[in-house]
Amino acid sequence: MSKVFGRQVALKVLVAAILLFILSPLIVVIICSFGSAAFLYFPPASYSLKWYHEVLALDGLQEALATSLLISGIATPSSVILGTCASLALVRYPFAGKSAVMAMLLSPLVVPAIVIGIAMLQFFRSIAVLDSVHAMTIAHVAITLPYMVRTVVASLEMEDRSALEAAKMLGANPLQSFFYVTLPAIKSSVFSGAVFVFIISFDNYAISLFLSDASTTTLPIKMLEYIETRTDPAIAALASLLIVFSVILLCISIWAVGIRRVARLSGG
Amino acid sequence: MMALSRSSARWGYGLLAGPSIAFMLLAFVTPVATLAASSFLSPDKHLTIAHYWRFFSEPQYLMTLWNSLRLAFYATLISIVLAYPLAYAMARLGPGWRNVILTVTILPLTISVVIRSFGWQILLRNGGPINQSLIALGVIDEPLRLLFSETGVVIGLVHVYLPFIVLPLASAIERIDGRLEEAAMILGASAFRRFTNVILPLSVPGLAAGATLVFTASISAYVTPALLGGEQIQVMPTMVAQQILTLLDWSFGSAVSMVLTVVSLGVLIIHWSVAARFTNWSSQEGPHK
Repeated sequence: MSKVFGRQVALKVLVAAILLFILSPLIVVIICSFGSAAFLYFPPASYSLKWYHEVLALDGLQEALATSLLISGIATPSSVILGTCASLALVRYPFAGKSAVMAMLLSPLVVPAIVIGIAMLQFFRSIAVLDSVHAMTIAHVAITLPYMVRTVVASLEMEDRSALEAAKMLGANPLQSFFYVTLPAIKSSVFSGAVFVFIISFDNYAISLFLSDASTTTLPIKMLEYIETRTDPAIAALASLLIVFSVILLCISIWAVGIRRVARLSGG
Repeated sequence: MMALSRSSARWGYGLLAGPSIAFMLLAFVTPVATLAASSFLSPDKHLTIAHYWRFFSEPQYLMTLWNSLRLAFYATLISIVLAYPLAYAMARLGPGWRNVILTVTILPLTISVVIRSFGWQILLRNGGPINQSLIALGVIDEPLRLLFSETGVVIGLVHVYLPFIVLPLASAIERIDGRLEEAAMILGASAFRRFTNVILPLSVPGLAAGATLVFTASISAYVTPALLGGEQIQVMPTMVAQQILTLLDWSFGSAVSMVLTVVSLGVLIIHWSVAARFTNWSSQEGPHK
């Protein structure tokens, strides 16, 4: 018995160590952000909140943040609406070439991000009509659509069809049965899918890198610029704020659909 | 009446799926197909395989492919080693541990790779906490070169893609009947033998699925090698970026990106076909409970 107990303790210690490994880069960034010295150092010799006051004054930060929010703010609802509609057709209606359509909608998941980035750069240059905000928004919809389709399809497949038939018999038209029967059943999946789509778009670096230009950069690209040019903890303060923001979004989606569905959403 | 409602349903669903299909054909399939096509074009727009020939005949480029495969292999191997304790604990230590492990494992996926790499840069640099503690402990005299080295890239890749293997592995282990382990214990099998003879063989489907995801994600990763490997470590994605952004060699760059895509897709397709055969085989054997 004590041997079994000892083994459990050993497993728990090992697990705790691996979890610490996972959290360590985030913890280090947060601790560094409270350092008072002008040079980013771990562990800081003394602590202060002063770099948090400097964050908004970072050169070009507000513009990059506004660009990021604009792009993700348009890409998220677009991806949610396109993905939900396509999933309805895919689950409800058997048509020829259905698996080919599904494969196409999911294909951005299997093409390396860098390849998508340069393919889009070449394409948008060749048609030469779009500025980089438009290009990035379209690219973000394309790379987030698979997440939306995967989530909503999974949720629709679990749907109780008899409620739908009851609604039909009671004289509901397709729109009414969507808003009164289907949507309430899938809304938490759609919502958590939307949160994830926002996160993927807001955090995207590899694809935005190719589509941004000197006047239009997103937050992740601007952040990397700071990391490469600044040595003070202001960038750590900014990163800490974004970590807190991500933790809040993750908590919201766990609250909405439970941890298991969030895990499945994230790629497992 | 029946026929009418069926054809109107078809129109309705066509209207639902149509915009997504049209959007993806235009905004995704066309750009990728155009890129693929341009990898077969010479500067004067003739069909050629010269760019591929150049890639496969130059040792320097083959070395880059080898770097990518090697680093992805290390990252996958280390991820497997770290994922087993996490997945096993998730399956066997109860819901409390499961939720904590799941949350912590998923959290990095929601944080920009730029921020995560920034954290690793602080941890791994010469005066960073890892080198300092190793020197303080007397393990080393000189700081190890962790940042801008292969070690740094592999650590970063493991950190980014660990969730991809923990999740399928945990669901595979959850399906293993706990009584099999008990039986093995009663028969006197050590913890090590219970792992190698019970857990490991029965979790192979989850292991294979997870390892495939980590491997393909690792060979495709651009940001982690670029930020933690620096200019010394050239892998396929950084080579694509260099050819196109710095050298402006679009046709060769697109050929390199097609090689990368084919390798990554190839690994996935091999996994899918083997996994499909394995599922058929095991369903003929009857359900494993």
